[in-house]
Amino acid sequence: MLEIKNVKKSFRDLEVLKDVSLDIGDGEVVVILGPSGSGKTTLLRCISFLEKADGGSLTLGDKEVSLKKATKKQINEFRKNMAFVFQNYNLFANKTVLENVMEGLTVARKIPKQEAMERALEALEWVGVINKKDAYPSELSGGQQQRVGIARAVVLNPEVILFDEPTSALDPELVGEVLDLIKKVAKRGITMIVVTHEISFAEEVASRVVFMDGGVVVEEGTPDKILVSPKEERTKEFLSRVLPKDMYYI
Amino acid sequence: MLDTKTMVDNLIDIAAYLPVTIKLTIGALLIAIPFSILFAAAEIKRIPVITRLVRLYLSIIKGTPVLLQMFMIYALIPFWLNTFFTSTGKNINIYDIDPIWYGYIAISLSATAFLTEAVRSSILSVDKGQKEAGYMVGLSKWQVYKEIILPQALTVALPIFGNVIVDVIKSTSLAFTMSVTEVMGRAKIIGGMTTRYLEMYIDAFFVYVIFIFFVEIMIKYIEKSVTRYKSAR
Amino acid sequence: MRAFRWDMFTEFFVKILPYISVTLTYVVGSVLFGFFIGIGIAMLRLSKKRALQVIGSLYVTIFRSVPSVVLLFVIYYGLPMWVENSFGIILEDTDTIVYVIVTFSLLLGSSMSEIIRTSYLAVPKGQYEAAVMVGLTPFTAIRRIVFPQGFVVALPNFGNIFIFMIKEGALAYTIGLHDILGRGMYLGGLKANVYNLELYLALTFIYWPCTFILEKAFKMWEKSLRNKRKKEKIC
Repeated sequence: MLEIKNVKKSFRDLEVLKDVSLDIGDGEVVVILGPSGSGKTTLLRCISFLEKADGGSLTLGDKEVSLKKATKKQINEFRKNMAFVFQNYNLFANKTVLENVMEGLTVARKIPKQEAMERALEALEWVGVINKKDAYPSELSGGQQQRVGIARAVVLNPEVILFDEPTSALDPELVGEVLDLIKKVAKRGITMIVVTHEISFAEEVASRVVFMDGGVVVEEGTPDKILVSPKEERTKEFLSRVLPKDMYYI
Repeated sequence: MLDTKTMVDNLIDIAAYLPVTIKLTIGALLIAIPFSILFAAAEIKRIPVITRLVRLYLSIIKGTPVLLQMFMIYALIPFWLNTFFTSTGKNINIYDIDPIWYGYIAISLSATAFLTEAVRSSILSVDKGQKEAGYMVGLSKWQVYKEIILPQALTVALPIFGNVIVDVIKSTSLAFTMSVTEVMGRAKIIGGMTTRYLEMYIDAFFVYVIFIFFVEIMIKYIEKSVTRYKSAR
Repeated sequence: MRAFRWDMFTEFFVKILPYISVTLTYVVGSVLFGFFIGIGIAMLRLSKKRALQVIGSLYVTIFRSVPSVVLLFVIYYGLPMWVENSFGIILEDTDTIVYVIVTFSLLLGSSMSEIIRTSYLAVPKGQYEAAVMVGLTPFTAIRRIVFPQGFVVALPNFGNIFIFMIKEGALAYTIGLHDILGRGMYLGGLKANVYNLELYLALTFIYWPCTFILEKAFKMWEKSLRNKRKKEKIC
């Protein structure tokens, strides 16, 4: 359903992604793990065109596009089928919570206001911040902001949602509730790629775990395979640093 | 001794020229605003030659006295216009042109420079993530600017705009050197007639301080009504 | 239209150039005295007594709103009268530059106080507290810990003040001082204002490099201070 092929990306002399490929099936929840600087965030940003890759391609459904040479029109078309949840939320500071969730519906997809509002309210209800619908982002806690960020993504009914370290900026006590919400999203059967440091989350939710290091996919497989009995030395070394399990690493 | 009677008697006469000061301010700003938006866009978009020219303009205007800019405009524009009119055979007397026009242009030069800086820095102050989030919900570049970036930039820009407006009002007090009679010009004229210069300039002092005080209150009020939200960071 | 006279441009340029010293005199003088006034006003505004705060804010509000030329004229005509009435001294032969420096010291005092106040407040209170707790006296704590940190914050603004002063000081011409602009206008008048285009261009090419160099110099100074601090951090 989502095929990422041979993505390459360098920042000046630093090669951040060296030929990364991933094949993701419909409804899969792929969790990408790896030390900082391994290129996992860059991978997400490249396939959402926030960063222009130096090479590689993306296939979504039956459409394929070059990550390097995509035209504006192609980019827009692909983006309409994906949504992004940011590490620091990036809620629109000049819009209320409700307006934040409606923006992609009314302005980008030209859905009538009434229908958009109904869908937005439903999404806010679902993520549990309906009582804050008229507040501005600066009036919300980090956890509430990220809930709105997730509502803003889910309301678009995208084929895939990309999560870029969605809990890294949160206070420790708020991480749990947001992770629970992301699990709820996973249960809806939406295809997801989640970049995170939360090993326990990967263990519980992922249909597949991808371990990246130094700009390449070191190994991938079921959570059991990667987290319990990894084959590669680098994976073992990484896990030994971040385990014991059930502790949050921020 | 200070002749307080002459001072009080002429205060209203001098304050009556505030409309000219206001006219100069608004006229200069009306010229400066569109130019500063274009210039700021050129600076942000980095168009090869044009950006260079804009920077050169900003550097020269910010690097020379407003008084010198006024002398230039007042001496050179009529001269060039005259040459132009005579060479094209049009029968227009340049002395029929109201000098306030030179005032508008001369004051707008520096106003443009300072507004450009305000527009540029306020747009750049909006977090990059706002733009990215806009793209990711499917907005086009134009929609991102219209819906997200410009409204946020405006709230950052407003206090700076306020300062620029006050600076423009203050620089209109030099328009008397271009024979425009505004508050300062009037004070100078009455000073000449009564030879009570000091009293008239003290009057002008009060007129400006009180006027700008009210302008600042007004700007604060507008700021408050436009800024409904606090920036997240 | 007549041809541009490069020889006139050069003549003006060369003849005006020495008068940079006059401009620099009132720039340095005004910034210096303005700085002291600024410290005084900043102290008033930071004081705990309400009355002193009000006096400080009033000073800033008034001198921020008055156009320089208006204050210059008030001082030029008012100062001799005031001195004569209060002290019985007649200021007839006083150099014009004195009025310029008095005017701009008063004006700069207002903006300087804002700069000093905000950069003082920019240094976290903990810095002072920590300094006192390791045994420095309050004065030494401010001199050795708070001031150097506030100074880095204030530096770009000080740079702007110098540039503002070079440009705004040109108003001194209106009371007859021969600074860069004043000398230029005088020389232009000697030629019956025929070569004003050349004159204005010469003036532009004197003012512009002055402010340009000053701006760059302050940027470099600020950068070197910040770099120095970074190095200290690493050590």
